[in-house]
Amino acid sequence: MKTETKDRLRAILGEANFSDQLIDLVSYSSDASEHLHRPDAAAWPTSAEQVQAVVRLANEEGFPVTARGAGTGLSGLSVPSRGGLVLDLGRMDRILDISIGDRVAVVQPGVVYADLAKALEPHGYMFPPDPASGKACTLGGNVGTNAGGVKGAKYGTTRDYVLGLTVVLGDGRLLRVGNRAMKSVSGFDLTRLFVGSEGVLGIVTEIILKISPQPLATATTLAIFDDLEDAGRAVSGVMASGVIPSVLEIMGRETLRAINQNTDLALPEVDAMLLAETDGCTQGEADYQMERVVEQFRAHNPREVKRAESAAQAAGLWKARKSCYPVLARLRPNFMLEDITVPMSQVAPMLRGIQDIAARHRVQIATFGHAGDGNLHPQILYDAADPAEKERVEAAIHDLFALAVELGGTLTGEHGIGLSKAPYMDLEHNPVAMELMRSIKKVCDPNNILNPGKMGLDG
Amino acid sequence: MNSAALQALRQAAGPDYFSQDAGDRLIYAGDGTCFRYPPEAVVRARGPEQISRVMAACGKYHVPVVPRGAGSGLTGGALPVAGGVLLDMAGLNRIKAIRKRDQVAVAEPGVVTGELQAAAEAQGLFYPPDPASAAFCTLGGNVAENAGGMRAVKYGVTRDYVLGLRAVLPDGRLLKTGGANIKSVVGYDLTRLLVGSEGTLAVIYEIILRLLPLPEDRATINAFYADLDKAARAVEGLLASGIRPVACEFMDGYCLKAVESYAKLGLPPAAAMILVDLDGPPEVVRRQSGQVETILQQAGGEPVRVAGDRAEAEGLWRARRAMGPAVYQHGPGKLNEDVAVPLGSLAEMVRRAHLVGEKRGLVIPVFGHAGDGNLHINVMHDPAYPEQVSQAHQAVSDLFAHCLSLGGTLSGEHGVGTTKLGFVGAEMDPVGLELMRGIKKVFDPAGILNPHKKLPPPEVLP
Ligand SMILES: Cc1cc2nc3c(=O)[nH]c(=O)nc-3n(C[C@H](O)[C@H](O)[C@H](O)COP(=O)(O)OP(=O)(O)OC[C@H]3O[C@@H](n4cnc5c(N)ncnc54)[C@H](O)[C@@H]3O)c2cc1C
Ligand SMILES: Cc1cc2nc3c(=O)[nH]c(=O)nc-3n(C[C@H](O)[C@H](O)[C@H](O)COP(=O)(O)OP(=O)(O)OC[C@H]3O[C@@H](n4cnc5c(N)ncnc54)[C@H](O)[C@@H]3O)c2cc1C
Repeated sequence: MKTETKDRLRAILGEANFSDQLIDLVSYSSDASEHLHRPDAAAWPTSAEQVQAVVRLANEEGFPVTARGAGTGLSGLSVPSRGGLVLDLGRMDRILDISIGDRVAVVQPGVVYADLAKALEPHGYMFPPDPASGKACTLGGNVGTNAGGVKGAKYGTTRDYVLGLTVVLGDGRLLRVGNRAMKSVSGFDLTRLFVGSEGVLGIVTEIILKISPQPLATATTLAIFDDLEDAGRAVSGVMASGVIPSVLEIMGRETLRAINQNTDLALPEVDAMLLAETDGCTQGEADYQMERVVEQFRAHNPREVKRAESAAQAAGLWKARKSCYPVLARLRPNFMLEDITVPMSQVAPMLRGIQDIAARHRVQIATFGHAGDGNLHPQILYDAADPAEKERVEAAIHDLFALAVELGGTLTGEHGIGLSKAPYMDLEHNPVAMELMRSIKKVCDPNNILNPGKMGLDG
Repeated sequence: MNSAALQALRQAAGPDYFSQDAGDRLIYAGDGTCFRYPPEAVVRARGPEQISRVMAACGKYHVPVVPRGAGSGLTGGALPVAGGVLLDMAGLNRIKAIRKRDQVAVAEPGVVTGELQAAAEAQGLFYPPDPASAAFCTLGGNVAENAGGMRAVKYGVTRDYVLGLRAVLPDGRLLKTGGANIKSVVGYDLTRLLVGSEGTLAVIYEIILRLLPLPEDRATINAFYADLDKAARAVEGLLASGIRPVACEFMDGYCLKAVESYAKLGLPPAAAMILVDLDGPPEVVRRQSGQVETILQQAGGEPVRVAGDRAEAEGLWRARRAMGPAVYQHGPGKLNEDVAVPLGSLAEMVRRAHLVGEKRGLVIPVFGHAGDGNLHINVMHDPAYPEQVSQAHQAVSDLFAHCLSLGGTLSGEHGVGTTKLGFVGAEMDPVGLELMRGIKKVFDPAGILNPHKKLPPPEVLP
């Protein structure tokens, strides 16, 4: 990037909101994936107008602009793989309005998920998606990825809560779509076109979110299965029971073993463990639903079913699930967290298939995930310094994706395509769909300024 | 259309699927609006290859194509306003699969919504979207309009159940979006871009829908209020309670009066009625209906009735269901609007609608889906009096202005079609319109698919 360009950026943003210092460039060269690429400069815009001015300059001078929230993305989403400018929206972090009457929150993109949760709590409200990264990730990032979480089966994902957006398009135009009404069909669904678009179509500068009352009571149960198929059938049974659990998580054998090696939870090393939570506006309601879930667990040969009798016990049951990611992440020098989703009946076959793939390629894969909506996270643990192992890992990942698609599934349920899965886009999309997406990108971002190289759309 | 075009079309469609018969052209001239535009020819869809050939022929000869489901649309989406070919999708009406363990249905677009609901139910499953037209409208029409209905408060709208689509693009190519997965973030959300696109982007020939388990039990509660604010407080209290009602319907005093004079149900005189439906496991429904009763009472409901059984529940619903025909008690003509406003502005919107009525010398009954802020505003008038007709049209403009000033939207579920085209520019930001036009061009560069719908032409812009 030319010095003159940097000066113009400084003039737009103010000295304090721009940097080309090495330390910043290094910080912004990665996210939570294994991808690395250094930007030429970093900026912290404080208004939509600044974002517009920056994007216009980028069009003039032809440098890439990559929006970034907290950089917790797992697919290289906000890694500036072609250099240019990283636009960290973290300083646009105001909650502009919380309206209980309208049931909406209006926020800037840099608000951290947990900060909105904290602001909503006194009102008894929540923004449900609840990604596990909630303490760090931003709402702009959640919109960029259509983030989900453990509550997906009952409460859906970010998409289901975004009512409106303000967006700076790739050529600097400012777009407002949607409003505070719960339903609207007065145009094409542009709002949802931007949700999950990975910062490739526009930069979100304001978000209108639908919020929901917090459930007043929950019930929690853990069930242990010696046999994976039984666990799979129990999941199907629960999901067909007429009770929709607020949480239905699964942890596979490798995951349980890993947790045991690194904590004192002393979990049984069985094929699968399920964790269920039900919620409601009274304890009676939550308990009654849990009885129905437990009935389904018991009908499918569990080794043990443990129901929490208190909040403390419930927290204990959650401990195993919550320790999956951090424990697994520490086991080996490197990991890749995948994010396959399969139709509900294919959860057990997919889990079985993952075990086979791990054995075949001699790689370590521990799986956990959101069984209630078929979203599984196989975490592949390896040492990148060992080229032979790395090769086996890549072959295993290829087989994982192929199996998911073969079972009618999808490459990613919530983490996105970014760089990691770009080469696999055409496993799922025919050339017609690919071409449409490329053309839509052109409509929003004619000069391919925004987050280029992502989603496998620009070669 | 010249004879070469007709010849090419007949061949592309197959002679048995093609008609220029005067009777057919008449049948397909209208939809749920009062307008009529006979097409030049009718093609009955047979399958993707045939549709693809028809699209290619239409592209070659620059002939407009208008897809049509059951023609129940209320904004003229299926009207062949520019002539050309009417593509009747109703014959593609197979339910291809109901996959119980995946909770997924695969259906052709001509399947009548009510038939899919029944087929799902037969397997203990549930297709929640429930437009009042479910007995005759089609899934294709529902997807194209993003239809809503009576259960949207708890279950959402059609969009929330469409997991994947198969469609023919205007140039004849086949597009596949999504699959049988509840979650997927692979690429842009083309599926939902097609949902609500009113047949202007692609012709849908197969739909993958999410199903849910069939709720075991239901409960119905209604309450009458002496003024609007109390009714609004009841809705607010209910939604804040954490209970997710299936339906939370509203009728104003004009509606109640009309229903009473039409159906003689013995309704108490009131300024508003709220009707709540709950569903779920019996024990949950029982607990919640007690809570709802208390909430409706505390807001000043008098009387509040809880249905003891299904028959009583049907009794409570009768007033709401009679609304369609009953509203004509206030006049033989109706302009039917479908605004949605932020939840906090519900009572204000109803009040303003009534004021517009007073100003224009017309009765404007309001009912609708209070739980999601979607109001059906009926501007009643007598078409025999031109002055009333003109006042009615001005009332509609007034209503849209009020709705937008409250932060609302022109249409919650019926779409834009042709009837609301002139108002879209007042709601959509100009960049949004540009973007929509750009997207339309990507899908339909020749502009042959359902022209003059959804997107106002540039000259209508403010
Ligand atoms: C421990 C851990 C647990 C996780 N758990 C979950 C989980 O449960 N569910 C889940 O879905 N994800 C999860 N993730 C992934 C990640 O947290 C989410 O994808 C999150 O939404 C990313 O938010 P971010 O603010 O970090 O965005 P970033 O990673 O900075 O960016 C993500 C994408 O969004 C774009 N973007 C960011 N801001 C904007 C904006 N203002 N306008 C336009 N585009 C923008 C970026 O360009 C990029 O493409 C987890 C990650 C970690 C490390
Ligand atoms: C009495 C009555 C009650 C109603 N109640 C409701 C209600 O509660 N909620 C609600 O939302 N609506 C309601 N409607 C409106 C209407 O029923 C819906 O809009 C419905 O979705 C239209 O379906 P259809 O099959 O009749 O479609 P049509 O009217 O034939 O077409 C509607 C639009 O869809 C397009 N289309 C149809 N099939 C396809 C296809 N296969 N591919 C691409 N585009 C296609 C058409 O081009 C057109 O733009 C009601 C209508 C009536 C008459």
